Amino acid sequence: MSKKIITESDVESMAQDGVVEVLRGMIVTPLAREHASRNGIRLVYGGGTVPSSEDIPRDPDSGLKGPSNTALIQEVTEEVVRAISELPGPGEAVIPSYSPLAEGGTAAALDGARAEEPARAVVVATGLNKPGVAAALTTSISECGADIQDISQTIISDFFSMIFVVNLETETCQLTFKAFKDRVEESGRDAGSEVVVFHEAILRAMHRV
Amino acid sequence: MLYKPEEVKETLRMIEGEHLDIRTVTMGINMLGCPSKEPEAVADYIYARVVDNAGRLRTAAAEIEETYGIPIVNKRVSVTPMALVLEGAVPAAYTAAAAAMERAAKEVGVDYIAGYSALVHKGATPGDAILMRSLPEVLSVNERVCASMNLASSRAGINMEATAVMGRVISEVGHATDHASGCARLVVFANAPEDNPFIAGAMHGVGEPDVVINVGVSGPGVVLAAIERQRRLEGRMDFSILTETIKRMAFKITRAGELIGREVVARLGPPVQFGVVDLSLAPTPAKGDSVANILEAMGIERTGAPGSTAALFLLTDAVKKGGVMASSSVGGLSGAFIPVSEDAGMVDAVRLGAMTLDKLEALTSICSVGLDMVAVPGATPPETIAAIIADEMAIGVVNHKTTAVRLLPVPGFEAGDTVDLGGLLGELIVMDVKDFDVSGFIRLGGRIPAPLTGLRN
Repeated sequence: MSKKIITESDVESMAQDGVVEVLRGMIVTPLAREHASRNGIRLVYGGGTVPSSEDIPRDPDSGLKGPSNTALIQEVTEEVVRAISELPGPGEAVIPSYSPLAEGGTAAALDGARAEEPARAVVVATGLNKPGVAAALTTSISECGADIQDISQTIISDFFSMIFVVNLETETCQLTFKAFKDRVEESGRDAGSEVVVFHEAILRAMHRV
Repeated sequence: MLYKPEEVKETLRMIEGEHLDIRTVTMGINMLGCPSKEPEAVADYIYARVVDNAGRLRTAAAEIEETYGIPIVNKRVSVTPMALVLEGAVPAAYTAAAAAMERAAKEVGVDYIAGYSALVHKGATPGDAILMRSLPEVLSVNERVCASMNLASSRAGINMEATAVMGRVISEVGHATDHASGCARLVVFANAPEDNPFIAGAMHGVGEPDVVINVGVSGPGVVLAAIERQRRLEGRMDFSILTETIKRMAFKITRAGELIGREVVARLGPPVQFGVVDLSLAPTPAKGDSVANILEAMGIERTGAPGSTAALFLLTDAVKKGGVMASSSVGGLSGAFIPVSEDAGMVDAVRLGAMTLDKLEALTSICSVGLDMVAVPGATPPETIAAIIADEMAIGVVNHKTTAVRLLPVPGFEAGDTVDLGGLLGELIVMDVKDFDVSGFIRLGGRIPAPLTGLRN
């Protein structure tokens, strides 16, 4: 649909009682707009059904258009002032430190992985296979009151490798991670195998996305 | 099984056999609250702030080492650039502040404390000038205080006036300390990061919180071993497999680094906050813990030979990609700084003539390698030192990245001589500097304007 352009001369010819009715699909050129305003011709948009800002009466007190907002502003201001006065004053307020942990993602995952001591330990034993090695290790773990949750064992020719995942968060285990580590590593050495104990968190951080 | 035996064994192997460690846990401490400019009051404030906040750093780190089995090699402290804290004070306050930093570092048991610094990339204030002038004295009297200067930025250009001054200062420090060892604690930057955990360039920037823990991960040994293992096991290797291998390792190293950092923060409690993980692969003089050796494992006979720039680009890029996947708190330098003397493979490369000053400069253009821990003949004129700095600054400014220079002009030593600084600083081979006069250029003075690429708004 082609649009009708209203030019300067159109304004003059269309004006009735100083009003030009601009309907949908009409475009008023800037020059026409300027001419209208200079000659006191009002442009009424939408065939008079759409209110123009020109139609809004001025408030006799403030000289502004539209209903008076003074009372509303007053009310809102009072409410805000009331709310502020309930907050701690300057110096009392503590800016909450930004915690990326609360936002999920990597940080939250790592926080989950972070050790809430004592949590779980991984015991890795390697050495020459001989009777009693597994018994010695499991005995010392159970003496600590810890709970073995998983065991994996392989034997290649004369060598064995054994991995335990141990829960230290049991009612019977009162040891710190360090104490547990020292005790199990020592018992492994006594049984003639190389034992390393480390925190499960490091595995979770490295191998779980 | 909760974890596959291979996963458990891989972690064990990384820690036990391949030097996986946390290179540094650095505590940044804000000093802007210093209420006075009087020398004694300044010293008391700095001492108290460091001791109060970092007093438990070593113990906390030791506890975590025990629990996780991952060594934390260095525990360090950085403070707000002293030039900002001391502006307006008398010169005696600057030396008093440095002495207080030294005393506090000794008290809390850290080997280096950084932040005797000034930011002069556009111009120097009177305070900055006092600080620059005090450097030879401060670095020779104290043993733990580290200084840094930001001489250039992509938004401001290169402050050539300050660059000329620093050429002279570095030369003076070289002559004032034994074997120029004081220069190992003085680094100049373009685009210095505010959260860099690595000494000597660490500082606690003005945009940082009150007390923050930044972590520098390590692991050239782990990456090297992974590449070698991949080659051995799979028998085939192309560039995509190579980058994939490095990325996977970087992911794991970074995860371990962030875990340790957050754990340190949790143990220290408020107001300490977690800052960043710096992804730079940081070498040590230990055998097998060398970035140069990684490039050599890719098939370059010696680092510095043609192909080294491409290989280092591949390495740093893959490390960043793996690291960014692993952590949302990546910061600092994150770009493979290679202190030449602290990397056994680099020292070998220099000795064999594969690595030269020019090649190091070329490597800077693709990562933040800079000229870090490079010995030059003691007779190198200050103007030439300033010109070497200016070259590095130009690369940093145009490429919007951090570049740094830590030169040691060793008095009485000529190109090819060996200087042994011992410990973590390692062994240096004095590099050849072209003997041409550049003083006319350096004496021009003023500032080289910011590049067009600096106008990004």
